[in-house]
Amino acid sequence: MYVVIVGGGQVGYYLTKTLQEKGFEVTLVDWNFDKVQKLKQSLGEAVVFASGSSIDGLERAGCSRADVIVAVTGDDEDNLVACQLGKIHFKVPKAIARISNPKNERIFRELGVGTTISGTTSIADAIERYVAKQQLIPLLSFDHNEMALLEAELLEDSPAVGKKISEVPLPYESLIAIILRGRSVIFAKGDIVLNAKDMVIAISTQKEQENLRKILLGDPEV
Amino acid sequence: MKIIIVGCGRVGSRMAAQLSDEGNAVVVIDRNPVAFDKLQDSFAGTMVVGTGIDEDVLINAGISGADAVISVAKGDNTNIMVGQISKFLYKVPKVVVRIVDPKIKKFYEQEVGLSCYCPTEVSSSGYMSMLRGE
Repeated sequence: MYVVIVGGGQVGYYLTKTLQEKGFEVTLVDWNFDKVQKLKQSLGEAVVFASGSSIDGLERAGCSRADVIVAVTGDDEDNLVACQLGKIHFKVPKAIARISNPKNERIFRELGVGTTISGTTSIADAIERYVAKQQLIPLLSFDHNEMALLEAELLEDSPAVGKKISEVPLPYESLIAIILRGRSVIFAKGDIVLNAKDMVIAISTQKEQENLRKILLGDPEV
Repeated sequence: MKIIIVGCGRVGSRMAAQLSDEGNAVVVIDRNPVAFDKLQDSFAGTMVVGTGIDEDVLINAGISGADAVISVAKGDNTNIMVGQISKFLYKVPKVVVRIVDPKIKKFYEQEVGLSCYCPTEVSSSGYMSMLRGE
């Protein structure tokens, strides 16, 4: 399996090393002379001084016999061109592009580069999941916003999981009302054991909400 | 006509002025606002700061209703991407992009179907004919 990597930044460097360790034959292409000299000290002949957006450069990197071309420069437009040249001109079976702007995922797909990796998207998704999972979601508030009906999804590592409701040290002004488990609704009697993935519906005063959140969901990892 | 020009360098600003004087609705995009200083006072069009490879910037410049896009930004790859977004995603009727590398120009013209202008080819043949006294 022969892989051509375009872009000798941090991603390109570690990707080359990782794939070499997995036993792939790899060539790393970069168009910055100083960078190439430095990369050669660590990666040797696997590094080629050539432009990844030129036909001659990709030819020198051996794109004609490549099984995969991966473009990981910091510029989306450079990655698009490298992948299009690889796929269309050099008939490389698989092209993978790194993208910074998540909206380019659709654009690249429409232009024939279907596999894109976006660090931005991954981080944004991770934050979204984290935020959603660590929160009590307000469903309804009443008594002039003093009281709220709240929803919380329990995770594997939530402190309330595995406990009977009677054992959960709820704040005095909070109450678990029902539990949604799959498609069934369970009324929150004291001997019900809480499971991961349970959707807990609770009632709480405003001032005890933070304590309730901690007791049900735990502290966010730092 | 509604025309978007990406890149307000010497060529971009000159075309913007001319097309605007001819009565077209011109929008010029450049990532560097200082570049707009090259536009004459008479320029009646719109200036948008941003990069043409950002879809939101193109939308902001009105690509959905554009009759033509000319991409003359600094890098070939920027122009290539702008050209393809305009032509294949937004179906802009007339799209022309500058590609300095003759081999890349040939590839995008023949294999991808972009209309490309290659200053390297044009100016080298110009010099040659002057040299031959034509």
